[in-house]
Amino acid sequence: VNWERISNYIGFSLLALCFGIALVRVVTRTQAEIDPNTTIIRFAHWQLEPGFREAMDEVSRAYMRKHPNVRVEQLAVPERIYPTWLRTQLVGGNAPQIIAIGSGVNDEILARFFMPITDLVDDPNPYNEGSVLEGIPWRDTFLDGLAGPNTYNSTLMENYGVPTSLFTIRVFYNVELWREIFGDRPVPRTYEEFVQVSEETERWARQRNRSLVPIYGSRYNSPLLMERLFGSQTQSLVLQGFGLRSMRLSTFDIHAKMLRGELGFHTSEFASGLEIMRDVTRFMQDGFLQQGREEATLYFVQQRALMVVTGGWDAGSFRIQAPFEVRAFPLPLPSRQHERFGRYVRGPQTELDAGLTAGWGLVRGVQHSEVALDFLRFFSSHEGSSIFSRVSGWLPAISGIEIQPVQKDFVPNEDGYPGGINPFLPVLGGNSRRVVEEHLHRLVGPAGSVERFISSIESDLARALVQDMRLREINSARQAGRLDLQVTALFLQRAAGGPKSAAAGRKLYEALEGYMSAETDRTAMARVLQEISAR
Amino acid sequence: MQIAATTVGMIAAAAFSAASMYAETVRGLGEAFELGASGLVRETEIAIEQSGAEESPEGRLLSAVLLIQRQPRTQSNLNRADAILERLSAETVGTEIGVAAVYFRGRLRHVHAITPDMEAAMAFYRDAARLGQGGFWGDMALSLLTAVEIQDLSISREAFAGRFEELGKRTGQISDPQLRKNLHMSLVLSGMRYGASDEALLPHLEAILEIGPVRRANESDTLIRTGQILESLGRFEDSLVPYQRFLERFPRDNRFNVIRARVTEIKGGLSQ
Repeated sequence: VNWERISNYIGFSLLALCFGIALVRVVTRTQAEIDPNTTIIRFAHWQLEPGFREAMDEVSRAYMRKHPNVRVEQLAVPERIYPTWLRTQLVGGNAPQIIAIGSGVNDEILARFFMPITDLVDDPNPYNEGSVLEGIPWRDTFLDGLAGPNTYNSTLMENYGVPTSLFTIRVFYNVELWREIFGDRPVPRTYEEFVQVSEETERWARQRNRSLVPIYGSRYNSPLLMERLFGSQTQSLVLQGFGLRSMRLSTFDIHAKMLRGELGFHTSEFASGLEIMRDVTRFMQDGFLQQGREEATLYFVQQRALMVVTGGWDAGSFRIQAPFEVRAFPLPLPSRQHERFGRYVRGPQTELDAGLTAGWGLVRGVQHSEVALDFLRFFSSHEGSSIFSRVSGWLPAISGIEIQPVQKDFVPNEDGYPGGINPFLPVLGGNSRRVVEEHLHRLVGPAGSVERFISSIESDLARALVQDMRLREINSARQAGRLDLQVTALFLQRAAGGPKSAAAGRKLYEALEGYMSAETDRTAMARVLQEISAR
Repeated sequence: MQIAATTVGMIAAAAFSAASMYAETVRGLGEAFELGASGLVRETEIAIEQSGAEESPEGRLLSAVLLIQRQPRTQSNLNRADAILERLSAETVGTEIGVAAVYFRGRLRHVHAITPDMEAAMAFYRDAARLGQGGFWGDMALSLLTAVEIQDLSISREAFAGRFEELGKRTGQISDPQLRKNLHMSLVLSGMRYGASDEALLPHLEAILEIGPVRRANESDTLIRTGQILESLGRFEDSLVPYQRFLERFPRDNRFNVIRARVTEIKGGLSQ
């Protein structure tokens, strides 16, 4: 037997089979596309978490049952290549009608390629007829009235997206393992209980020689936990007039105070924030800062950690991938009475402003855009949102939808006060964030300490803060130019009269409010930089 | 008599026709206005070219602002923009476009020049404020002038109070209520940063609330600031008004519970 010839035949046969299948698929697809009676709507996204695609398929099927002449297809693109893919499709004019806004979509791309829906959301959504949302303007059926930071673009003064969900950060835990260690003990409700549970888990694993850590950390998951812990210690700064007495963080003013040395990791609230970060990260595996999100998910699913901190978006993945029941609870933070960490705490942190996702955007100038809009109306209707939420396990973005039992762990906590400052200082700029990340290993781990972190970061951070303030000034000058153009165009549009004059007037005043605040801040930035260089 | 009437009629008809043609020309720029409002530089430039109205005062003003914006920024583009604005301001004296041209000559030197020239910029703003008094661009120039002057580095913290009071009077010269409100907002931000007293800040905050901010974030922040300042002045009962308005208007704001707790505390204190 000539095995070489046989294997060649097998190889060629497989090749011919694949070619045949591909040919049939291309031909049938082309036939469907040229079928004048079928309208094809495509939507693209990067959500590869299990549950999301199935939910979108289910919503699409429900829509197609109502509109047999429409075919809805989804394109799931890996997150890593999504921004590049998106730009290529948009610039090349091959984009699908609906695209998930987020990764890779900036204001310029939104303005150039996406259709504003501001004027369309004032009318009721026809798919809500017969439901509790009947007759309510489409805008008001969304939990945030489409006025949130992700759903309303205050730079372009338009709504662009139809949100899908809202997310909260939770501690996910392995229920079976929990019962094995703690029996029927309820999940921790206080910081003390959380620390105790972690300590006991460590002890339990050591006694049984099990490879198990209390909390699995990674450079993706750990910051989610550290931000809230640090925020509990800096909460009082925000509430005590830090944001120019508005109880809201003013990033420019934090930046200026840090540059002047009035605020920083050496000040008591920040130092206490570092202490608490260290107090909890000791329960993570060694070298957690070198590990990624995928490893954290894998190790948790392999039962090598009792808990992992992440957002509600991962709930579906865990439910499908983990061979055990997964539940979640809010990260317990210290109360005001806590002996070591209660001094700067004002109260529990609220999730009242848990934002909706930016959601689906409609691409300008594509075929069948009115059908695509209709599909989004259905998607965000009472019926569509109920299907999506039930299958994906994600919280609905629409009000009046029944919350599933699996979603109850993720419902935002509406009590409490705003959180504090993020220790990674992302709002101050990329340089500051990078410096904090680079020095973090001096805080956490067996060899780390708060003192070591503070003494090592000082000079690097001072330099980064100046660089970021300069960048902030440069960016603000660029933004000022864009605002000059916007204001001039809107002024001329209003003065020209015609049907768009009134809308232009409204936008003009909205733009001007941002214009004057930006100019005031820009002058203040120049003043701070002058002060610093004069030292 | 008949000849005179006919002549007047013909002149009126010609004027009407010219006005209509002009309105048509400006309307041709409609797409450029739309694109410019979205901040799209290249697309707006193309729309101006295609409108056939690039030589109209509106077309020239927009083209100059676009040239200032064009990236990468070059001295030659800035010079071209300045030349267009200079000619435009000379040819359209007494109009809003003319004042806008002077204003943008100031902006060019203030923000966009490769080496900013603050003195020259301020001189243009002063000119625009004087020439356009009571108009949109005059108001804009006066507001900007004030926002910069209030943050003058040479003013000591001690002298700031007097400066704040003096410049605060300029709000009375702004005729457009929305622009006046924006200047009040700018004064509040600077006043808080550089140490204006609560008594001095309060009238500005009240003026902002009376006119009404357009952006929700500005409205919620102003309501809280006003409440806080009234409290620090010992006017607890008055502070309930902005706080309660905040609670009604912003039930999903993450500061809602703090303000609700504060309202309960104040009411408790007042009833004792």
